[in-house]
Amino acid sequence: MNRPDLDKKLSTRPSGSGASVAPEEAVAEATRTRHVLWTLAGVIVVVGLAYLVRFLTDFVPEATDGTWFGGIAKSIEYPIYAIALGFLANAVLSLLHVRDRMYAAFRTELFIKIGLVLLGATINFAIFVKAAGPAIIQALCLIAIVFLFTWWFAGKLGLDDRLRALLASALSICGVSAAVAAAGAVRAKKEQLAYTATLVVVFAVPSIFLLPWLANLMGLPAAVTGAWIGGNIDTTAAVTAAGAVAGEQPLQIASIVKVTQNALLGFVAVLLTMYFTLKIEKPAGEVQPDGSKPKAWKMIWDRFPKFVLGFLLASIVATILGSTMDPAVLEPRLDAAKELQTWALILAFVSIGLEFKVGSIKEAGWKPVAVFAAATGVNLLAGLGLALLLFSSFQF
Amino acid sequence: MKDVQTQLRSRGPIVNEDKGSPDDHGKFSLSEDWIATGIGLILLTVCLLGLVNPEIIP
Repeated sequence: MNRPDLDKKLSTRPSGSGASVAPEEAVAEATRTRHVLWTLAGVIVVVGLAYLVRFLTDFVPEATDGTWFGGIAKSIEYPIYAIALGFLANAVLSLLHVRDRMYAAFRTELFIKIGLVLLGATINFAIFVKAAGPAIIQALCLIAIVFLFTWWFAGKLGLDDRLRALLASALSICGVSAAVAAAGAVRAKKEQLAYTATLVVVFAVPSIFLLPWLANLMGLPAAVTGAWIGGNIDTTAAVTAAGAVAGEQPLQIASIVKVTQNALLGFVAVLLTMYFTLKIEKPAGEVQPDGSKPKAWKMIWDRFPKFVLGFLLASIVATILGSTMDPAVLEPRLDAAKELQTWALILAFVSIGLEFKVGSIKEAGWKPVAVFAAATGVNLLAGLGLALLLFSSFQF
Repeated sequence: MKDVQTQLRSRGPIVNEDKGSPDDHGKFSLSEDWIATGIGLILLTVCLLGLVNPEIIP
């Protein structure tokens, strides 16, 4: 039966008949099944690449030992393989026109949050307590400096207010998650969110390699390196990758600093909603189904990144067990948690490359890119100054 | 089509006629926060109870 005949037959059926909706349901069911199968294929790709990363991390240094490349191979950590393979697979899957169909399986945010909860178990809670004060001061200063600079500079270039809010939040707080929260607060368009997220990745990926290298070049102490990385790189996944490249202690401080910035996300979302509601346009801001505005504390809680609680809880539990359990029993168990943490981080880093969409940058034009570049420069300098000021005397 | 794109760029990158919610993106949804926290804590509990040996993790 050709399509016009089918349409005619469907339209002549009495309304309310169950049979008239059956073909639509069948089509929807087939679409759902295809979506599930493609997502499953995406999961296989992500896990397969993660296996390859683990293999290369062990194999390349052994295979090149004694050659000119041996020294370099030993210094290449797993985040570098993961990100490189993610981008490579992105290119291959895009050429085969299947990447978009698998997209639901590429979940950087989910994997990185699982990894960070597990990472919490490797950080003694005493380090949290010691680092909390400087981390909060650094987060407050950096968020204020970078947010206000980005807002001002984007305004100078004539960008739309919603896009200004998205860029300023992403740059000053925690990348994609902050852009999502800001987008909800100011009712931004999906496209604005998509290319803000892409810009975050474009600027974060080089930082993963540059910041640890520069910190090493400047001879920064481990805590300062971690604080600089945590305060500078926008997205939490890239902070963790850079921290892992820099070493275990920089990773601990970088994750504490970044988690502190994440925790302040809800407050910035509330301030943005209030600003857009009162100043930019009256109907903006979130509205409840009954037409009332949500309460500020509820919005703060809604926007609060809940994985921070898991991160803290994991650290508290591991610290208590560390002082009450026999180390011979506890150590292998913590080693298992660390192995799973590495897996979660590799899955996240592979997904960074797989998720990347270059098309949205072309739509954005040069202005948001210029704003991102300028604000990243300000963030680098202000972040380095604050990290030196607040973390120079930090003792692990 | 080219004219429309040029016009859009000259007015800034995006014009806000569409009020589509960013949460339509699905994968950007914040609700996965709880899922990630739950999975992370379950994995940690399994490890701390000694149910997973580090040697069996590839």
